[in-house]
Amino acid sequence: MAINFLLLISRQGKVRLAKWFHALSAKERVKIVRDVASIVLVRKPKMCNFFEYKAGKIVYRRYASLYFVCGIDSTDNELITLEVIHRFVECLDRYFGNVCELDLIFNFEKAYYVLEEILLAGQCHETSKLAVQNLMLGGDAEAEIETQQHEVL
Amino acid sequence: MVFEKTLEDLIKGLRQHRGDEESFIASAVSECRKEVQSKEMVVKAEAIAKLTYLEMFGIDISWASFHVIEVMSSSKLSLKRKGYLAAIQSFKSNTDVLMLATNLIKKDMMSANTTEIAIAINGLSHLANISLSRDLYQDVLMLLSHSVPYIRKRAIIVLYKICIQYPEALKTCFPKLRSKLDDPDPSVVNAAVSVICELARKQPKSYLETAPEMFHLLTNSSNNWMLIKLIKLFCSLTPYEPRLIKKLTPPLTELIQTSTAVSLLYECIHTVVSGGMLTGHSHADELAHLCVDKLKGFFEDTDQNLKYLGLLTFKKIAESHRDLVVQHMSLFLKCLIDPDVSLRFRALDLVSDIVDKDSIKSIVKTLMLQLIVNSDYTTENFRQVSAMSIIQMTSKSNYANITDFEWLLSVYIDLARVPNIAVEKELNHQILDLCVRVKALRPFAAELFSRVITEPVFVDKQTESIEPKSNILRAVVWCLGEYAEFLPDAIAVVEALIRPVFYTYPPEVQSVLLWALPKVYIQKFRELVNSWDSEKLTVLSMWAEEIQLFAKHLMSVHHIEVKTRAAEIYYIFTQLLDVFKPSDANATLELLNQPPYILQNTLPVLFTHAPLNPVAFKAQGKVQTPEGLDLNVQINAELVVPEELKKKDVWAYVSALDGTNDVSSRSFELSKLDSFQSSVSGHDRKSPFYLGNDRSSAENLIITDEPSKNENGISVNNDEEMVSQMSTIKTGYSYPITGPVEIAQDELPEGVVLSDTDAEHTSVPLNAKEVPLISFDETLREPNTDDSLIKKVTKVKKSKKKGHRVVLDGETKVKKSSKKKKSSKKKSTL
Repeated sequence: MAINFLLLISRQGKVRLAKWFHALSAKERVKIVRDVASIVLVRKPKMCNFFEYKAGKIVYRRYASLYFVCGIDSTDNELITLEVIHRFVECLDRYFGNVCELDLIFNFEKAYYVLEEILLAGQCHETSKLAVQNLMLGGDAEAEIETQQHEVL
Repeated sequence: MVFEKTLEDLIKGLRQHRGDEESFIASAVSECRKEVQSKEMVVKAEAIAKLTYLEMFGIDISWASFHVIEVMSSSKLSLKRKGYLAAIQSFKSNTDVLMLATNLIKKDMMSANTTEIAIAINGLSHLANISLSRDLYQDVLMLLSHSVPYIRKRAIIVLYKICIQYPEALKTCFPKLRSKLDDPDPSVVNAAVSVICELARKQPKSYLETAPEMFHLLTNSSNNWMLIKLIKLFCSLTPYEPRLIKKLTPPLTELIQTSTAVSLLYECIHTVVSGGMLTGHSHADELAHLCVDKLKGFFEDTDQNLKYLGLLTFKKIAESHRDLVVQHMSLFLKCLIDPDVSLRFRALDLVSDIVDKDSIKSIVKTLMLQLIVNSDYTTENFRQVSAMSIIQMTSKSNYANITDFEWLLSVYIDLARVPNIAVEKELNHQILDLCVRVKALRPFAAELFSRVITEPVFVDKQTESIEPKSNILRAVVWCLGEYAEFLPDAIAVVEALIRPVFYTYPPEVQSVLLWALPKVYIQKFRELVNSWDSEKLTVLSMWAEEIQLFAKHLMSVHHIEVKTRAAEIYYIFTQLLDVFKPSDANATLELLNQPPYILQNTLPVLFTHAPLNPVAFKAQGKVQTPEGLDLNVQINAELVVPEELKKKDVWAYVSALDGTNDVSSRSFELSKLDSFQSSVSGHDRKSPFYLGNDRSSAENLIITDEPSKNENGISVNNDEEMVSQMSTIKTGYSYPITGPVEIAQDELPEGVVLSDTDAEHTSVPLNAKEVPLISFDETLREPNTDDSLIKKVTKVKKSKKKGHRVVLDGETKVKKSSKKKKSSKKKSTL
């Protein structure tokens, strides 16, 4: 199933992370963010996690103070999208260790890298949390080496 | 050494300046501008990272795109990553430096370091446009055979993106892609399956050939993620290959029965339902039963999502297996009152589809309860939708679902009472429909309505509702009048109908009221006619007077229909009252013996003569055309259009109005014109209302805004002058001047000719003149052969558009609007 976009929105409506898997103009992006945020933020906790938006569907889940919002096509499986979102959150949690919103604010680049390990072009291609963790740690190690090399110089 | 802010400092700083973000951001941006130009890659990369962060706040960083490319080209992976991230977040399809990225990505993809390749692939997946795709797909294809499965997997996925952008690549890529289905690494296979699944959604037919391999994977794999994708793929394929259905049924059934993963279960059921597997083959019913059973389980779960999905799927199943779905009506009714609004919408949707005779009462009852009890504003839309759906459900297929019409009518009236929904129009229509078509309902309706009009909720104007509730009275009152014969107490109804509160009602209700009153009155008469005596006479005459007064009040309403009807009723009842109070003693005696003729015969004939019955939909088609009537013959014979008239734009204008361009319609217009013409030429030219080409009279009618100027050039703008001018204008009306008005000639500059002088009439031919578009004057219809004049005509027309009356003579134009008759200054303006 193809995810069209993934947004992380705080309770105040601020975008903490935005990944667009389709080329959209800046105006369209802003509009989508505004529309979706306005709908998602007013929904009550007991309500179901999907609703229809334009030609597709929006799947969202609230984790603490952040809303993880995904836009998918109308023919896609919503339940599996929820699984993908959950897998992403679990990977973040594993990497950052009890992740909270602040972690994502200050380390947004790392968050993007984790996302890249899981989703590519809207497709979920890596479902093993362990694999993702190893990849991220490997990337961090390389970055460490490079910084040390730079400092030496 | 310059102290540069790190990304962390930026973020912290931004959070501190919570109210003052703009200036902080602006200063940060200007710092970054300097930093990106630094020679050190680390500094550059840090600046780019900061800009990426700021981009999330909506700051445009497209000016830095070249620097982003520079960072992307760094050999250090961490910096390269930052560059790529910035590129992904900020590059648009029209970013010009994207071309520079081509070689960069190509180089990175050929690198020995797998991380580098991965970074490049990731970047490509986001940045891919047509040119990038065209240039790089060969390289990606090569990566498909890379030794590391991590890379192979990614290459496959990015290939999908490339093929979307550049479809010609698909032909070359597909064979290799297909071969990846046999790859030893399961994640690669998974990726290949995903890509083929996505491609097949767009063009299912081309991927039918992969079905056998996919089927093999389906039966042998236990990876749920892949299974879901496979099932989805088959969902797109089954419409094109019916044999697949047969083959798929066993594995799908097994999956449905044994799977523990709800998402997989849902996907299977979804495929079964959407892929057309519920019809047309032997196991269809079994399959349907199985699906319905499993879906029922969804409703027992506390997870709202499952209920939502269950409702969605049931709706689809209902198209083929309605009875199975209907069995679970109680579940749906519960969902109708669920606190979650989206669930209610879905349930309403489903229930409207599967409603039938047995369930309609309970459904409507549930919905009505909700509407009446819960006037929650946040779900206003749901209220409106549910009210409309009640009406739709009940009237579906000619009231097929209704056995008890009396119940239905009372439901409609109850619905009309509910606040904050706007369904009066539909209710009006429905009530009328019911009463006219269901004869047996009329007595009940009459009784019900006679109670309704006394209810305050309808009669006292509501100020907060969307539409005043009173609108439903249109139907109610009409029915009262029409079926007055069934009224239990006609006088009470008359009394109710002539209350003063109706003086300020909407005119639609008033006009219906006015016609209904005499009908109800006549009904009262009919009740009394058998035992006619003076007492009855008094009663009737008293009420007649009341009605007459009421009608008189309504005559002052500013609505043409109400006014007309009120006047008619008033005069009829005045007549009636005259009859009731005769001057003659004989007549009085006669009156006591038998009811007056007017009441016994005239009024009933006027108002209640023939019953109004419903007309069948196809009735018009059954009407025979009378003998000798041919509907296709032209009404007017063809006329010849004179050549000179054909040239005028006017005919194009006329036929454009008509919408047609053919000659027959034109000739029709011409014939219209001819007849008009003849009437006009007989017309009194001297009549003040005749606005012919008699310009002088026309000119007299023009009242300009400029203050009048007398011969001394002093503008006079006092009332007296105005009055005198007005009187001359008035006199212009009463006797139009056929000749030109005398104007002092000495004030004219050379060459300028005034439009209202004699000279013009003779020297300048018709077309240059300022005439109404269609000339009625025979004498002026001279053929126009002078080309230059045609140009002048068009010029005239153009200037006419501006609203000034302009006349041409030679090269000078004179603005007429600025002129006065006697004492006006002649200006020549262009």
